[in-house]
Amino acid sequence: MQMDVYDHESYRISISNLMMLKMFHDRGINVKNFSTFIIHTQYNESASYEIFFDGLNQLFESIVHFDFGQIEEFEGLYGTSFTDEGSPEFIYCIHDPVFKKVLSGPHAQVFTDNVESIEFDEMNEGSLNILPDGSGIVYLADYSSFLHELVKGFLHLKDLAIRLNKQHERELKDGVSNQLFNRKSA
Amino acid sequence: MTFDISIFESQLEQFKSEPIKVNKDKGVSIVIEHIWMHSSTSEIDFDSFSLDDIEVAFDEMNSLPLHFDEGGEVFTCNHNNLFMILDVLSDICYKMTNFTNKRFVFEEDDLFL
Repeated sequence: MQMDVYDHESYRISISNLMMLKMFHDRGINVKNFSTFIIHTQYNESASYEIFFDGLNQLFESIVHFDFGQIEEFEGLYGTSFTDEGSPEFIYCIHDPVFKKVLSGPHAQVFTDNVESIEFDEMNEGSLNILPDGSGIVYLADYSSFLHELVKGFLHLKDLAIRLNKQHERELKDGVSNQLFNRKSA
Repeated sequence: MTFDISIFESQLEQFKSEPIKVNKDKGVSIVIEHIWMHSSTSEIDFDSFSLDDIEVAFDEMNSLPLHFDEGGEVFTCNHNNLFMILDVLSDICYKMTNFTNKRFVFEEDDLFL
């Protein structure tokens, strides 16, 4: 049997879409009415983004998307530090109270270091940063093909923020102690 | 001639069947089928497979090409690939249920040299 590279690439992206649906399902989202996961690169790719945004909108307070023509709008809100070396093709800003909380707490640096150290595979060329106003994270990219990698990264950061926030709450209650003796209270 | 039940029973021992085992790759099979059959999202039971099962299917799809043709746009599929196996099996099932003439006859002019 033979296949052409367009069908093959379409199948690979479709499987990425299926992974997104599964990740969202495992987080408790009902994906029954989400878009079909099969796409074709030469006909209709929009399903990938529908699944991406439909899922993320249920897991984060808001996700705002800026494309190449809206860079000025983005710079108006967040300054030019991310774009002074060239404008990316698109930008995703993800806002959530857990991010605001961790970025205004004592573990902000741990979180920030983690955000900046995340690398996606070669199919997603972009960088992940903290928004200057501390309201969330921002992903700036020139090219993204397998969106499930981004979803995995964003969910990892949400889990990390929640963990650090809980740790801070424990420290407020029990006091910050020497790590050697830092056990959870019985 | 009398029928000896104990001899009959001991003779049957060799034909004893094992209980049906659930294949540990069941989740992978379900994912492969959803992808190849272009299932719609509402038909899928997302609890019947794990994320790792989808990763296996992803790797399978990535290793589907066996060799590319001259132009580099078309490739021959590896017939041992799980997607190809499913394709062949479902093709056979389709033919068994839909063809009235179920006897395979090798036509001389099918031989392509």
